Amino acid sequence: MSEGYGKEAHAELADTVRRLEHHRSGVVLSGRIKDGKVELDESTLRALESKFAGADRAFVAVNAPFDPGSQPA
Amino acid sequence: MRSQDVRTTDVDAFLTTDAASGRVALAARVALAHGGETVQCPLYLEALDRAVEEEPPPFDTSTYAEIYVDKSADWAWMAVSLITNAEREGDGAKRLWSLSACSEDAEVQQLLKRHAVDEARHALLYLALLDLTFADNVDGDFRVELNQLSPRYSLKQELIPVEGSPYAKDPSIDDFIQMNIAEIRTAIHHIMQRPAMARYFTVENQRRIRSIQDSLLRDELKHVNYTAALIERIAQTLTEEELAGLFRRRFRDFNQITLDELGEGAGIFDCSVACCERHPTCRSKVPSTSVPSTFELIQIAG
Repeated sequence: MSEGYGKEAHAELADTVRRLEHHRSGVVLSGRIKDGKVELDESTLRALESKFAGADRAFVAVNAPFDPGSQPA
Repeated sequence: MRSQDVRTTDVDAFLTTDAASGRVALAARVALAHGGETVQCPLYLEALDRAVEEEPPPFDTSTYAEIYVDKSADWAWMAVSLITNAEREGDGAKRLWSLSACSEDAEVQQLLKRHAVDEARHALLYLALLDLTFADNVDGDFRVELNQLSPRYSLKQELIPVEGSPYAKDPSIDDFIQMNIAEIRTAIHHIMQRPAMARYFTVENQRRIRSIQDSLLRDELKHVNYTAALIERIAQTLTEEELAGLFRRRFRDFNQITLDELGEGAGIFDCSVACCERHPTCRSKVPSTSVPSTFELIQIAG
């Protein structure tokens, strides 16, 4: 078995596992945008709540000033 | 990380560095060397290093990286994280657009405008990552609605501040310091996200995902670079202590924001960054009155 074939087989296996995990979870994310903010549906929140509390807050990108009360120029 | 010569650092070092080895300091130096025009910013680096030592960021620890690895192992967490990041990028773009519109300096105005355009594009790039990894797990109507998260700014577009935005004001060094610290954390997030996302790659889409991630990281380093250069320029008019005080204050603020975002999980950071051992003024031991008042900050900012 060549190294290339090994990598390809590993990638295909990982892909299959990933798809199975998604399918098994049975969760489809749904919601809406309100005033520029994401609002997940209750059904989605209930499905996620036990395992993913705080998923909408942690490790978010911040690229602008975070205090509107910053000192003047 | 105390070297002041930014030319000795490279992006690969940042990509592969251990989480506990000072990613904040390294990110700043990599950005100065490779985030655009190579610039030496000794005043900026000195103030940044002092602030990191005195107000150690939780996002500069291996514990923070471990929490990310743990959470990102769940596909739904990662999917929601991508959506939330798109939302925050779009919101940041609007703040920057308002700042740019009100900037009295033509060069600064253009830099902020380009930055806002970048962030508006980033919102769409996070959604592209969502499509490439979790398309089967997002409701179709919801996915269409998510496109609203990006204000889709362009460089040709006329600058008009967002109505009611508290960021519709001439930007100051305080704003640039906040942006710089926040961008460094976002760059660190990208370093953590790259291996975490790999678990959701498919053979067909991995090249496209890596390309998007490279583009995002390149832009974040560019933003750290230009804000550092602006800070260095304005710092010439401040004393060393004034600059250090502003950096320290904003690291303290952003550290608290980071801990608040982590919610209950933040408890493990109680002095785990070891500042208590090094500094008797550790925030857990001093009353809140030791924090500079708004009046004191106004005095510092002039």
